[in-house]
Amino acid sequence: MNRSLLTPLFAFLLSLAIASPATAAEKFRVGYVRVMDDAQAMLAYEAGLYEKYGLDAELIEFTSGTDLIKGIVGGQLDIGVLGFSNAFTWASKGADLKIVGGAQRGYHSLLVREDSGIESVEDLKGKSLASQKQGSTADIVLKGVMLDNAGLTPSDLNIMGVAPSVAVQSLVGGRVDAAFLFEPYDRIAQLVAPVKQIYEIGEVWPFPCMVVITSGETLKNRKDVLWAALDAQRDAIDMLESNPAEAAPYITDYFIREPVVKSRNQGDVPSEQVITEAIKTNDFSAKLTEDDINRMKELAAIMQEQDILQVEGEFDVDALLDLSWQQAREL
Amino acid sequence: MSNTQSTGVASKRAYVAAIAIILFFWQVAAWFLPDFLMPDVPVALQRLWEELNSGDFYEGLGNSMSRLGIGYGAALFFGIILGLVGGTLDLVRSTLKAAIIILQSIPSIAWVPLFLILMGFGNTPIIVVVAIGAFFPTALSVMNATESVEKVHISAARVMGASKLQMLKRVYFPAVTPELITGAQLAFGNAWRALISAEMIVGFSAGLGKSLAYSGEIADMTGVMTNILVIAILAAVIDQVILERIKHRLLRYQYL
Repeated sequence: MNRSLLTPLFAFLLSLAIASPATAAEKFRVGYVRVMDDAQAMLAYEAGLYEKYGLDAELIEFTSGTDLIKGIVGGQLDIGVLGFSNAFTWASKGADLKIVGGAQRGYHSLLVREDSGIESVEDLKGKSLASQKQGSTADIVLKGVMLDNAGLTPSDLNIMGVAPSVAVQSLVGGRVDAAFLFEPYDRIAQLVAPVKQIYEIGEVWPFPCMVVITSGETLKNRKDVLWAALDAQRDAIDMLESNPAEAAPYITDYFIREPVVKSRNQGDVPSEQVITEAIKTNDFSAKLTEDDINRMKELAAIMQEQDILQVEGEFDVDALLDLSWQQAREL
Repeated sequence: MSNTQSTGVASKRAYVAAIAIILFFWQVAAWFLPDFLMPDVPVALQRLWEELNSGDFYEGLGNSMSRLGIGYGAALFFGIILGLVGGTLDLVRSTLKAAIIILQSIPSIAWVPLFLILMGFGNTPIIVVVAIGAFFPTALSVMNATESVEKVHISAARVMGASKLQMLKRVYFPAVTPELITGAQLAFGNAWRALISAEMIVGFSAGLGKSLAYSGEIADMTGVMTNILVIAILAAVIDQVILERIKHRLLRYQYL
């Protein structure tokens, strides 16, 4: 077969391939981390909200935001719900990223063992604390805000960077005096171990911990699809905020496999109830407010102090933001 | 003797060639990928030079090396003892061998979550993981070598009235040394990999693995490549300079 015959055939097949998604649902890849902070993505998927907006979404799990961002940078993901600090570090190196919406305001609590004698953040001096990996958003606010406000430096205590589930186990097993945790690990730890919460950063220093991040290329080429995903996630956020008990059954399996959590002094607590309470403690928001953006700038400065963000002068947060979706939706 | 020397030179030449090829492919990849994903070789070498002049680097290196030394040392010690016991006592041999074969199929890094809870945070879980990684190849090679000691040598030594200690020193030890060394070199590879992966997972005090993981966390790909470079070079240096030297010395003893 000669080339002159092949070309129109190929063009016909190609036009079929391009035309077909118009009738079928759009393929869309969403990266998430298995933490309550990412509940909007899990809920949008489980409750069929992505489908409602014409998306054939695939939810891809990552163990941390720092791994997730690599999926976006490498082009394997369309969006991710993760900490904005990850976007800052990669953007500062030249990666083409955009923050296009809000997700959740930071919830990180300091849990201490009741027998540890720790009553305030200041008492952490000389104690051991399980937190997350060095360089993660949690680690940055732990050192730059919580410890700093208490007049402590990271070297005043023994900080261990581990996965949240390991932090809970270490706390329960008495291997550490305290842990810096988010939901639902915070709630689970409080149910199963003799621990109490003495600090929660969201109450003291609210900041937009989780945001929706995409690549500049996706924003440019698949804007409609991206906006559909943001609409779906906004619906999910509405449900999380207005009706946690309705949202909980959809996402409980993501966190607790058993139907009940065997608590230390409240007997068996239904897993869905644990998740409902965990949802209630979080502050989900699809919108990034002026205050949120100012906090992002403050955190960028902290990251520069910690040498995590290596740029000359002030880091340009505004250049990373694309708030056209929330403006169009008049949020 | 001249033969071993020329082999040494040839092997060093092979190392130089291998390094050149690896660096070449790295640089080719760097030409095609954006800077933030893959830095140029000279950029990483420049960073390496800066690292070599910083105190933090040596602190991490010291921590890693002491964990490796203790873990690998303990694995060799217990591996040799258990290998000799298993090799000489028919009663325990097959069970011990089966246990080793089952246990060595578990990647040593798989023990980390358990050890973290059992032993707490600190050097201990990392050292134990390193020791586990190195123990099995050592024990297995010693056991196999002990098993295959020529029966006629044992009988001859017995006939000549050798004591138990003499048997061990004059018959068993020289016979197992070559395989022990091979096993120890294999064990070193396992120990090294276990060390780096455990340090990457356990967020505890400075070390080569932790430094690598941290660079990855903060999008510092030059840091990642520099750390990989250090890890690769060190492993080659330890294997070629230290272990090969010990091997030659011990094998020379065998032929005396």
